[in-house]
Amino acid sequence: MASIVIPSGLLLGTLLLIPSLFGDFTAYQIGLFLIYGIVAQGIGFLWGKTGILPLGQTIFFGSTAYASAHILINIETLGWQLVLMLLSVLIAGAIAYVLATMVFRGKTDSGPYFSLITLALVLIAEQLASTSPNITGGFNGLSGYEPIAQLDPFGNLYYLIVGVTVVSTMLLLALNRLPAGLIARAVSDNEPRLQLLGFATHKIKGLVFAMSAMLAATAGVLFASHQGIVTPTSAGFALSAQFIIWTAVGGRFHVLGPLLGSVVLAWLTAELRDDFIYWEISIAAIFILVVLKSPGGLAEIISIYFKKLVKAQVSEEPSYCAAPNVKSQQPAATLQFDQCHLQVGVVQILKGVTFTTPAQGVVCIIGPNGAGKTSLLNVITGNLLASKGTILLAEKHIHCRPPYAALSSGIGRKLQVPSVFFSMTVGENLTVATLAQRAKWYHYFSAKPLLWRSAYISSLLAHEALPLTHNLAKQVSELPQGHRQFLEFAMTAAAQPRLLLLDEPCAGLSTAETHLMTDLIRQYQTQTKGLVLLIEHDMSIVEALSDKVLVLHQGQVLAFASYVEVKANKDVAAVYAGGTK
Amino acid sequence: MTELIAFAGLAGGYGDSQVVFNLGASVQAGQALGVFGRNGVGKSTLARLLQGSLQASKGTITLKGQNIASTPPFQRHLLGLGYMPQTAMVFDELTVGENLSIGSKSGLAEAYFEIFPTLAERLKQKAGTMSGGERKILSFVRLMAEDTNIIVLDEPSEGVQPENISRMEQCLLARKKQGSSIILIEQNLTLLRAVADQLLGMDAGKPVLQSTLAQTSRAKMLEVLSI
Repeated sequence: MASIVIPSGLLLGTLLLIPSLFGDFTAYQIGLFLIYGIVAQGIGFLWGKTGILPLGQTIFFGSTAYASAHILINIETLGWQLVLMLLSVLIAGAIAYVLATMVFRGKTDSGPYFSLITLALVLIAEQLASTSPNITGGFNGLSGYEPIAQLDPFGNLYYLIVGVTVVSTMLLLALNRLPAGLIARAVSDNEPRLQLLGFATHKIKGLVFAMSAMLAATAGVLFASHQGIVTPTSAGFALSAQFIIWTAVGGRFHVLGPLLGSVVLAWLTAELRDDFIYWEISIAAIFILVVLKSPGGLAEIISIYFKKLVKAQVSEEPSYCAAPNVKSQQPAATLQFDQCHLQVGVVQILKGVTFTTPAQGVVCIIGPNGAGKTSLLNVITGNLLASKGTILLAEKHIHCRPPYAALSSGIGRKLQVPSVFFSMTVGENLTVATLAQRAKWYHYFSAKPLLWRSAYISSLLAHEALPLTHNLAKQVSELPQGHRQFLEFAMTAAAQPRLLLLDEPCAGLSTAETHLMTDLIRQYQTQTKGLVLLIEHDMSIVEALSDKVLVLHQGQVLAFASYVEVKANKDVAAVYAGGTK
Repeated sequence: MTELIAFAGLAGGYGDSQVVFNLGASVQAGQALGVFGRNGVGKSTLARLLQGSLQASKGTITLKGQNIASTPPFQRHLLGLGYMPQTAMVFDELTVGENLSIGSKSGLAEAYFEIFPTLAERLKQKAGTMSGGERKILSFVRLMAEDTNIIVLDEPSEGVQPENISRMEQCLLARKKQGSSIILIEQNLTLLRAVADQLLGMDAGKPVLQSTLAQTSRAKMLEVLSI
């Protein structure tokens, strides 16, 4: 709580002192820069957390500024004015949500395409604003109206702006410390992994984009009253680009960074633009310098010095609490492939794969490199769509579902190259996995779920030899590949799926670690009485673990039998000898 | 015999955290150094220090007698150091053939098609559509075709089927015969013992065993792995 109240309190105190220390005109100027800062804070949260760079935030800023001007011109009652302004902010959020979810559906990245779409939209918005004099007043804009509640832009309106700025700051600081902030961070870190943990990432991105749009829209409402005029520049690309520069220079990873960047740079611009002809070039140079040398901006530089001054407190072991049960624990079920084909481009990867597994046990998948083993798992989780045939789990079709629906069907997946959240600590990775299939929507806005620990994860961490037990505070980027294998296994198994897909979980492990991993897999299967599908090359592991062995060769099932039968099968021996480490 | 690569008092890590300390070894032409140890002891960090993507905080690395401790990776490559990282790095959007033509000596990759026939069959296939094991083989063959005479490999057998591991072994033994120096980091002790002449066992970033293969039993190596 202190981490939210102290910075917000300091911000409030500082801003309240400005009129008495520097006079009303300076407060008027700072008021405008704070309005810009609110937009930049929304951009910072979106860009810094989810990796989405919006190039057209003035679409929301400008359109609500125009809407507010119309409201102030046409509506006299303050109550109705406020209701309609609130409605315009909500509409901006709804449009942003629909746009982002439509664009990001079925994707696993935030690529440049979304930025380019927002760029195109802001150019259209600017053009429309300039060429629709009946609605926007054309080049001259809309003016000649009283500010909201007739608050003087050189007087009391400043305090309203300060209030909104502090509320926005507190909201974002709180989100940073809640599961919602953690999940937003996970989006930019490793979206495919988040999807396999059951999170519909296009909706998460839609929600964060909507929030940033609503902050821009709120700022637009204040802007209309503060300036007394709304022109096409407030919906244009030039201002959008400035928002990006201020956010980057201030620091997109910190809530106060974009606010600081906006106030400092906009103030310097106002002071120096007329006297120093190279000012715009200097701003461009500062922007390039920050992007190259300090991607975290001014906020990062300040926080480094702050950390040197203030001794870091030794963090105590958090007191974890029992996590609730997963939403729906499905019973064990058979997995059925019927004439399944998979074609990627011109390459035919699976050719009529047909088999039915038992509902329980460990099925090892073996076969030469390129036989289609990983692709088989990809069609189960929906990462690749089978071109023909059917795949049934518990007699229900699963082959047309997106990857984020796999876990809710009871399918957990560990990838071949360990896929975890690299910018987070081991503990945070386990927290994200624990939230999966357990948290309801409101849990993401409460701090308590950050301390959830499921019985299964606790039992895993009780293994002294597990290389995660003593590394919970360690950054995953510092973890060796082998230890990431254990982390990803723990994350995949956290929701106790009835079908656990493990793609070479022992690759890169030493002999002792391999024994530990095989023990954990067997324990998992015994405990959950579910089905484990495991790709492995080491035949000693296959022998130790498998109840049945599925042999794939050139995209087809060569054999599906017990280990002993497969070992004696001449056709298998002809294509795959197997070996041990 | 000529010493192709040597390092002494080598230390390094990531940011403030020091991962490896005081590592040293030298590899003659036609010899191989096998590096082993549990996960997290600093094997991949050593490989990255030698390749240059990570800067050493202490110590020297000499390549054919020249100190390269502060030489950037591309120059180390020009001096004859080839590197295969643990996670196969291939150009996903390029075909197998195009991948093999980048940085390789003309005609050399084709020589490996007999050993790895699947590559020859998939020359026109995009590398991004290949399986993890096949990408590893492609990455290995590209390294072989680069024709560098100092070869650093970080767990080449990970995710590769046993037959292909044996083929990798044949290729590495052939390169030794041709006079290359090899530094092989491996969890697969069978491959490591088949290729290495000297061994460096590591724990907690430090050397805990340095000996010749002949003097080190498999049991002794397992002992290091279970420290």
